[in-house]
Amino acid sequence: MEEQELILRCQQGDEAAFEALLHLYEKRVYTLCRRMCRTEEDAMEAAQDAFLAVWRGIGAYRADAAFSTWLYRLATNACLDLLRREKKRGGDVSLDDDETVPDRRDPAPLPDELAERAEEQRALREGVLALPADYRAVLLLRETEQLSYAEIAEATGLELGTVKSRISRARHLLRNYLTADGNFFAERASKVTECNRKEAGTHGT
Amino acid sequence: MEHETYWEQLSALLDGELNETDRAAVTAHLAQCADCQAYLAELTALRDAMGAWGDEDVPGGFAEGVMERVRREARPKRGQRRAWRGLAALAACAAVALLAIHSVPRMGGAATGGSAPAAAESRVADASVTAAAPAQTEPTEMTAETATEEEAPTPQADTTADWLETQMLFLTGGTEEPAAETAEETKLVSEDAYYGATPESANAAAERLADDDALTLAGEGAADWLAAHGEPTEDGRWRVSVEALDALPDTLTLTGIERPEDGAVLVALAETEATP
Repeated sequence: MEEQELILRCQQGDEAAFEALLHLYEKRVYTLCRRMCRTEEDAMEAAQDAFLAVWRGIGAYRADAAFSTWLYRLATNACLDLLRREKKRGGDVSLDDDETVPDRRDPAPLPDELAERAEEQRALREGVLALPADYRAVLLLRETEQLSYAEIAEATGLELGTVKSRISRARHLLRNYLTADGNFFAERASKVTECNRKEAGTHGT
Repeated sequence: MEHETYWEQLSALLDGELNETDRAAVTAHLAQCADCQAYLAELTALRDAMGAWGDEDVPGGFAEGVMERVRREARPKRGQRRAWRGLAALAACAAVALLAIHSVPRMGGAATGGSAPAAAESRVADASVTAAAPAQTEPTEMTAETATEEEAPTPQADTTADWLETQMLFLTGGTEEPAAETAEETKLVSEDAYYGATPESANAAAERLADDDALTLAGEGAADWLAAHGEPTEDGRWRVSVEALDALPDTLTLTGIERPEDGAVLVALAETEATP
């Protein structure tokens, strides 16, 4: 069944259609939530909240925005709500927007390449989780969901200019965090620098 | 530092989100700036690494958990407009309900509509907000008689009931605008920003109050916010906790008055938001 038809049926209260829609999107929504939240339990709760919000709100859903964008909005909101609740309980520690970088745990690099890659991934995930939640959301929508700035603006309700600056700011904070971590940029960046230099030479002047 | 001015542009360049002019300017700078090249290299490394993340495995029981919660819910409904229930009933709500709302610590930053929702329009919210003001006395519920009474009220009301009567008659067009607020009333009136009052004439406010007394949420994303924070009710509205309303985003506007029950109020979606 087409997505549009599923949505129409959901709007008429068809639970089976909703379940089909749920299976269509559960991986994407859960993945986004898992990257927004520190624990699997929180991610599961936020993702379920997001789908419940879909069910509750689909009667008022307007097809002038892509369903996936609307869904990202609900998922992002569910995560931010959950993280706010966590923060009130003192459970969420994130980078302030003042470029301070928390002390790193000893990453204990291993010689094995696989282990290095795993360490790199761990550092990256930790860095993303350390971002302020609002920044983390826009960065994830951009980097892992590949949404355009306009789509992110639609999904978050932010102005286009704010999306642009938040993504930039999030990257900057993450870069600083990973620079302090010491294991991420050394090899990667030097390779890319060479490519960029060539590219800049092509595009420039 | 000079390079900092390019960071945001470099980030947007990486995303292909610069217009031709900006792109040309940034790439020209890049060609001669090693620091910015290094910076772009780092952003690119981040993008590549994050882009390579695979999807997460959805935990077992996830969909079942959602469906279980869904089955406990009523069917999704489109927003419905409630029938007018009478100004007298509204007045009763005004006297009692908003007292309760304002006993909840709020309401943080001022909210939509901002600083000076000039004038009488905010009487809609004022009637309720200021209802709490004069009083050591318990707010008195209004009866139909008091709400429709012809006699002109005294501008200087001595009790909450008198004051409310004045306000209500004013709203129904029975009198001129009530006397200026006391300092305490002015303070409370300023909280009508919470209700998102927007400038309009006193008559329009009165009509709106008579026609649509329910709390109504308007603004971009209002439907999503209600879906995320409210529980749908039989009549197409949403039951929302006062705590959730406390954190209402500035982009949304809440108008009307409603009696909180068990720490929650019923909120309707503005029709312009609900119609596909």
